[in-house]
Amino acid sequence: MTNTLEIKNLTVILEGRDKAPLKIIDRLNLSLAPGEILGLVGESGSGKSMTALSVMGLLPPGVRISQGEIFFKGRNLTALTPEKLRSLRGLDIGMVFQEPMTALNPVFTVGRQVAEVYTAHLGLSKKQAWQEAVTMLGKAGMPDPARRAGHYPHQLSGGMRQRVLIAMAMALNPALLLADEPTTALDVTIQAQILALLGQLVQEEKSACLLITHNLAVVAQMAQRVAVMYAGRLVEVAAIEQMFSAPLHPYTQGLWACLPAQARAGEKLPVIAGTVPSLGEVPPAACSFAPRCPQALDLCRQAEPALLNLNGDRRVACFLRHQERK
Amino acid sequence: MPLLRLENVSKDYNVNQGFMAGRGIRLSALAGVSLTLTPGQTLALVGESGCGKSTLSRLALALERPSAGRVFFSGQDLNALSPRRLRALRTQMQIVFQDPATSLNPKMTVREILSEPFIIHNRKENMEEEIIFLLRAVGMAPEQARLYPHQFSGGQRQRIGIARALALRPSLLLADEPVSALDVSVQAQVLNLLLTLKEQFGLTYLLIAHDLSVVTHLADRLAIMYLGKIVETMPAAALESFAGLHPYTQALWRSAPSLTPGRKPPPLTGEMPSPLAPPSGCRFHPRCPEALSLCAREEPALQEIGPGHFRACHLEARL
Repeated sequence: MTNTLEIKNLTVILEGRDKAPLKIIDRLNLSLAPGEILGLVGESGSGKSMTALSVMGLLPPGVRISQGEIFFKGRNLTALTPEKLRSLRGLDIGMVFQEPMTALNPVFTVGRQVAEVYTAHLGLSKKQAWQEAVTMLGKAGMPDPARRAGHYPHQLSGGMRQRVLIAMAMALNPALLLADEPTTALDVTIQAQILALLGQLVQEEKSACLLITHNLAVVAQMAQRVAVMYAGRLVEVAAIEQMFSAPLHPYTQGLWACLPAQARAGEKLPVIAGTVPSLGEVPPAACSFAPRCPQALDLCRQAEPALLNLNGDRRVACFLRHQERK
Repeated sequence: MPLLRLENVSKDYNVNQGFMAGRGIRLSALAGVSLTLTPGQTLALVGESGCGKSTLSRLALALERPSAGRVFFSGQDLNALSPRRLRALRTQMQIVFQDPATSLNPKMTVREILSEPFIIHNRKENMEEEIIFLLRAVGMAPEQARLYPHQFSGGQRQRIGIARALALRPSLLLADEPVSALDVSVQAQVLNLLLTLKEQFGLTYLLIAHDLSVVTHLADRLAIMYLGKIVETMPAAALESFAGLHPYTQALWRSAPSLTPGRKPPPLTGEMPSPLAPPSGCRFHPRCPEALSLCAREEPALQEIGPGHFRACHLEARL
């Protein structure tokens, strides 16, 4: 069976006016099987959101794919015309963003915005599309969907607005759902509801889902596999149980250890020294984490470790781990 | 003597704008809340958006006046003080904001930002030495004083915000979601810094958070709020004796995703009702998985169910 999404050697750059281009994503390889939820984890500036935007062909001005391919069900998205790509978005690829207020149009009712998916992609009449929209809003857990469909975004709570976005994204049973921080702006009890809803819909429709978040606990709840990005590069990919029982990369280990949930109350948390490098600060021919790594060798500052397969689907980009396995 | 004491404080807002105009509707943001904060304590106010935690903090700092009830700081009734006395007392209570990007003036250097408290309160002697001391205390280098906020990362900006709050040596530091805008690896650094500074400066913390998991790391006491009321206050350690907790506290705790892989069903359905029309009886009863018929009729009062543990719930305490 072909993978739903196959990202091959993707490099994304930011072009400066008179400066050398900066790498935002550096030779990323990632695949997503049908029905799978892959958590893509990283801190701000790691390139995780840009990965989703690359897939959708929605990179901001000045940012472009300089190298690599993105295959969606075997079709190379990077070779498609913008028109072809637009017809895929919403039909075969759904998207859910972090801030549901800015992703919705404030001057149209939410019912109309969901209905638009059906008129635009399936050519349904306005009346049929409205009916479908109400049904879909109901599936997305909207209470009293027939009435709520007539409401404007500002009349709904943050959680309700996120349900509208999920209804729009899942309306046509997309093969791929891209969810970028879907619950970050929500309260915890609402977050739990939205996560459960996303999990249920993805399972019912057998969609593949790329779940982008900085919240490791959200990934633990939702995903089967997790990929960790640091400064534009993948540093570790593993099945969820493996990653949460024993992370291998020193960055992943540090990230896991500094969570308050892992420590005793009132005690100092173990920290990763320093800060995430900004664009252009990443050493080109070295491990990007070496300047902050407590275990770094001389080798780590002189060459870049490849993302090697250790066993099965477990991949890690660290010379220390590579040497241990020899 | 408690450092901060709220006595049966309520805050209503007139909702007289837009389509609500002229209807004389009042929004009850805070309804009869009592709270005590003793010196050296770290109290975390936890609740979801709209529960009244921000209103409570504004009243505690005398940024707003309560509609009813009284607020005491070091034994003095904040709303009975003259503006001059209140201004002097303000040096004792300072704030660290959630988003360091918007709470620092982008046109000022770090030195100018840190000078402001001294200039405003006319304490300019030794200001230079003080600024250097403050920068060192929050783990920054004195040379960084000449830089502007945009030249720093989010975590460093939060350190600058903390240094500014400490300038006048307050006794109470209010931190409104101090780490929720920060990256995971930076969160830990700032949480550690808050722990260190508490010892070094002898501070009392009032933390505000929507998520139990982070604040429990710092807090000695928790106050859980729902729709303008405190539903439970307790020692942070009481979270471990889970069974006796208020059903809303339990739901909050279980809603936070855990690091143990696997799906969990959401503990609560529905959303917090509007404070314009709070439910009868216990305000949590429409969403409570264990609600009795009594809960819809009668409002439960806070009752002590363990040492220092108060809960407003009709269910039998199962401690």
